[in-house]
Amino acid sequence: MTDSDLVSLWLTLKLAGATTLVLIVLGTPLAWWLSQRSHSSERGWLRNTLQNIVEPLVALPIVLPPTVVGFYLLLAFSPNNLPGELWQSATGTTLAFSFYGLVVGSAIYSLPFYVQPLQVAFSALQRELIEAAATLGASPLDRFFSLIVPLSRRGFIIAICLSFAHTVGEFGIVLMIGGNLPDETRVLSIALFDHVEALDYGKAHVLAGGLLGFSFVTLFLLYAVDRRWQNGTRTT
Amino acid sequence: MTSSNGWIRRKVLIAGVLIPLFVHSSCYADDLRIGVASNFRSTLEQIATGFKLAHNIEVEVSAASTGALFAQVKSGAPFDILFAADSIRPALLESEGHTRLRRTYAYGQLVFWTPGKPANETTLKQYKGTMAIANPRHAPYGKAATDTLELMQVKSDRVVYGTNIAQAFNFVRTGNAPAGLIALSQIKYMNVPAIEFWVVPPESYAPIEQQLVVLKNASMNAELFVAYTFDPGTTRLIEKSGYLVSDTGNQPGTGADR
Amino acid sequence: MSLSIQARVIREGGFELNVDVAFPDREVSALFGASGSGKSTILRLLAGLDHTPGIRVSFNDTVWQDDSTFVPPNQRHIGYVFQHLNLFPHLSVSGNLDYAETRRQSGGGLSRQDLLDILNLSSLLEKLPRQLSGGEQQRVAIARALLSNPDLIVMDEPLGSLDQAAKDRILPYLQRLHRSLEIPIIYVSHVLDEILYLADTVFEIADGKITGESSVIDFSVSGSHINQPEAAAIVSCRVRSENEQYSLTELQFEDTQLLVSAGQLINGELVRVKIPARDVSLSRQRNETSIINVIATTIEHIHDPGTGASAVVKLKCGNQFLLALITRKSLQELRFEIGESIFAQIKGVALMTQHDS
Repeated sequence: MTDSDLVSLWLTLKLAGATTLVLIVLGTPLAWWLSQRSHSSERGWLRNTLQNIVEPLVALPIVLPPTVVGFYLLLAFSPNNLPGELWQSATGTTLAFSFYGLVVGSAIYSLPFYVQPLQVAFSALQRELIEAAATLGASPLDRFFSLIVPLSRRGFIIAICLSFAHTVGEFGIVLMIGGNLPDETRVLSIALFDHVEALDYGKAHVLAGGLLGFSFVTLFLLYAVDRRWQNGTRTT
Repeated sequence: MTSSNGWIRRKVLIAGVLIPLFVHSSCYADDLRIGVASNFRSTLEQIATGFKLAHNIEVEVSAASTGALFAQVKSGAPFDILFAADSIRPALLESEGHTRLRRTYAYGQLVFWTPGKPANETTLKQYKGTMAIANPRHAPYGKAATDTLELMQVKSDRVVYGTNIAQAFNFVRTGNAPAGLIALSQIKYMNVPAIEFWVVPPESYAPIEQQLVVLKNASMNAELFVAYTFDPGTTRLIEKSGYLVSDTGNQPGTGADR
Repeated sequence: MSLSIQARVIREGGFELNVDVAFPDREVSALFGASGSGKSTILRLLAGLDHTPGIRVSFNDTVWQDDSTFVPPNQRHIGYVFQHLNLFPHLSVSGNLDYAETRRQSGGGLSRQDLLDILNLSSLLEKLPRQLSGGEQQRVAIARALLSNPDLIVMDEPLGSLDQAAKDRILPYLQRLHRSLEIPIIYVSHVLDEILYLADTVFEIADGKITGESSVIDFSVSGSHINQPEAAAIVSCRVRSENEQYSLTELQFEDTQLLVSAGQLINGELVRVKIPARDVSLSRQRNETSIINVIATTIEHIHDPGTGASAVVKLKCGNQFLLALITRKSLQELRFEIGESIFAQIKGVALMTQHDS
């Protein structure tokens, strides 16, 4: 691998890491909120309606072509429009062509890969356990970290691994908003695309093979760990 | 006797219907199928319309990136003519024996565009902000842009690459990049006000040669279309769209590789 | 008057809860009713686990819920024992207890060691919940609830998922706890036996309404449940003396005496005695009989259901009552009448909680 490809590798890992961190912070409360469905009709009406709207919104990036997301992101990031304008006045630079812009785009695009497995894990928690913790004096935040997180470990692992791996493979969004800057936005998938466009197939093979291998190993390990978990703990 | 006659007749009938469907020889097909690089598409469609009127031959146009068209042709896509955005891919196709004709049909022209602000040689030389260009590694306009930036000693903050000239154009259009080196044809297509752009003198960069190839097994009407393309009326149309038909500075090429 | 709740709640499916009740302090208050009568609903509302508007809950001087206030469950200091799924599966017994201990309310209460002793948990500390039997899990759940030093205990059918043997083993622990604690306990069950064993006051509930409030003594001998085979009379007696020769203890019951197997009893102490109806037979004469307790009573009431084999006779002795389960055939043949003097022969007498007057 050439030097610039190594830089791309580092950028890719950095992007996947930063995106996953953002998703942990923002996606966890979202997954929790979506998992709490109210059963009494009158009190929970507004909340249920909101959840019914938010849930498909979260799932959108799975079905939308990344070019659609990238298209709208490019418009949103433009200093002529509100979000881009706010960012520019706050930081002096554009969101497009920047690492931060990629993090925003990747976080949106990998959102369902983080939220959905976690939401499933949260829904499977037994209500009585959480109530028992409350009666023992645990505040909502306390209950979350001392009980809900340990009991949802499996969901967290899946969510983190999937969103990390998904971001490593991120291409369409980065293509639309990245600008291909070598030290900032030229991630591995872009570098690969460049090699192909330039008919440099030797280099392309190295990167493509590497990405394929990485993805396979990640998923293989994820499944293996999960199997051991299932056999070892027999909890939900 | 009658039954065997009937049987033969039926077979001939079936053959008569089915065989023509399998006849590949393009000499019998009237329609022309043309693949065109996306940035030349609108111009080519106008040419095709004129050709249809003049010769009463149907023309089917498919637009894609030059790279995609290249790959499709190599996999056997049934194009008659390919209008590429560069000269490298046409040369490759020729060297691999896929073509029977290769000619330069236009030269791309580079412009400096700053929306909302006046553009000229001075503003280019003094420009400091973000500059959007096509990727110089594989896009013809990109290489021209880097040539120009070097020649004019432009010290811009950062240079962002669009994967092709269309994307570079979009970066500037949406306001994410305040300036860009893009194609004159795009400027003309989008009716950009004259004061916002400056045509970079062609001698500042290696020519952006756009070549066409007629594929080996193309219809006999293909050469007819090529001739029509070099008709004075058509060349005027091409120039009006923002291209040069014969270059004015560097060596005119029949495929000078870069 | 320590814990009170006023609630009018309508659930989906038409169930309506309409209660206005106050639970006495320092006692075991039982909520007795069939499944679906609203018992668990009341408990959950008391604890704040279901935040339903329009109800009022207060404990001592603190308002836990009214139209403008809602104190969340983690601030109410209630020890709650669910019917199942109490223990955190990812923690050992010790870890579960730690969880309560680190969030414990300050100021007295039973210590960890106290609870380990009372509930006999020392050998289980390193085990995980799934390695425990149902009875063991519930004992740990009770210990954990108490370890948070609550002001009040709530138990929602805590023995519901246990088999009879396990229940029999746990009941004494619960009795012991009651003795050691000075906080009110609200105990919900539909099992008569548990109520008779543990309760001081019984609140009967049916179809979302409280249908009766009485001491367990009064409850034991009245109401429709006395027709059940587990029916038993609870009577209050005072310990008089011990008969060491025969390992018997003499109890003063109204104007007469009862002899029970000797226990660790203190003279003068007031104790509760449970006399199952099926262990009481009736006779017009005092015979020579091996049955050691024969008591003169008056027939107060006769419950003849009209079908089946059994009938229940309520007997008055001084100010207290007994129940006798007899066959309808005998009832027919002997033609007992209300007001008639009759001897009650009591075969088995179970001693229950000892408590101060």
